[in-house]
Amino acid sequence: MSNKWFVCSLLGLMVACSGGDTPTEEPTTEEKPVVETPAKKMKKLDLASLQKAAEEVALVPSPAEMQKSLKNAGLTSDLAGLVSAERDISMTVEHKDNLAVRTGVVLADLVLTVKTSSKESKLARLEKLKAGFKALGAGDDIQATISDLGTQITNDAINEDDLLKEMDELSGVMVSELEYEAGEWVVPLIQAGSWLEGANLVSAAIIKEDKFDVAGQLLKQPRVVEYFLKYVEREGGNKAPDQVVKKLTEVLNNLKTIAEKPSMSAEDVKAINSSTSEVLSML
Amino acid sequence: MRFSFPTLVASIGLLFAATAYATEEAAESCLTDKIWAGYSDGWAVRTATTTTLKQEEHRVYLLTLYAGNEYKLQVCADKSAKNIDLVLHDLDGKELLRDESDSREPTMIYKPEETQTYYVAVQATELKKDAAESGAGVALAVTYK
Repeated sequence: MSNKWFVCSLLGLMVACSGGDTPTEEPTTEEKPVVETPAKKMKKLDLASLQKAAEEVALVPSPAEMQKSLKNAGLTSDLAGLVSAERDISMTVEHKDNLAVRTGVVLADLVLTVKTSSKESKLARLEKLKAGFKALGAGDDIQATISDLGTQITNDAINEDDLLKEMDELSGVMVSELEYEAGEWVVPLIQAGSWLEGANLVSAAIIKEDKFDVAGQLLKQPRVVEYFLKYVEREGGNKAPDQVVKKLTEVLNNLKTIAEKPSMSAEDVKAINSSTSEVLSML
Repeated sequence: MRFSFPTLVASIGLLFAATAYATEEAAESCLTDKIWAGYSDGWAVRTATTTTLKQEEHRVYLLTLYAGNEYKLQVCADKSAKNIDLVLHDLDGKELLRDESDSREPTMIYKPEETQTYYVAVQATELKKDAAESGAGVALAVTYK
């Protein structure tokens, strides 16, 4: 083999080689039978392997998905209409667990009301979100994304459908993929805040429409609650006493007990609604 | 045309740099296009995540799926992958759905009968020979309607 063809082969023809003949395939004297190699398939994984390898990045449903589930379960309530308009969540708390939960609640409210709230309301929630992410050390990317969204909303440069997509991406993709200076527990606690708000609104809708038969379908998520508890009750870290976190831990333990029941009663749904309201009212 | 040794070394360096660059970013870009295209058919995104998988390496993700909703699990792998497999299991480990294609962009649609936690396994079943060790960028999205 000449040096030239050696070089061309080595580079996988990425670098063009000029000034010579193109290589020709070796002539074949007879047709070789085509033998199809069966495609490789993924081996079966047993339960222990699944449990050992399982990652939780996609475990928690989004607030928008809760709204869709509500509709698919036959309820007519719009969660956006149930979001408290008066609640003004402060983002100036020092306790990082508490702040992460607040950030999650604001994010849920923003996503759920994106098509119904006023421009001012959207901008106010975006500012709170930005403050929360900044204090949690979420980096510059998400700050820039939020600022850009704010500018587009201010200038009426984005339509509702595109804004909804952007919000889905922000809540479902960006938040879970970011690395936070404060620690790996930040994402689960932001998700806990969003899920708590969603569970509160869904339980309120069930009560309002007296549709307790679909409560299990919409609220029975013991694995999700366990996931939150794992981070809220973690050893060390930011464990200075905080009333919101203390209450949240108590409420999540109650929710876990309810979610592990074979079925949910009207009383269970009311308990979910009142206990989640207690935490949310403290923010 | 003759190649000097430094040119050869630089070119090989470029080749590897190009391979590395074409991994997670390419997979993510492909998936983003699919996610946005899905909105016109009513699909919304719940989450998306990207990783690098070597030959026959897998990742397993826990998913909470609502009864009544329809879910689409979509994968995009970069060009160094030949076949990515996708398998959905229930919480007891029983296989519910398996992607039978030999594609690097498998898709599965599932409508659960009960709200439950599920496992989805993603495996780089076959990569191109030069990528077996470096791996392929693989992105997974969970969308719903």
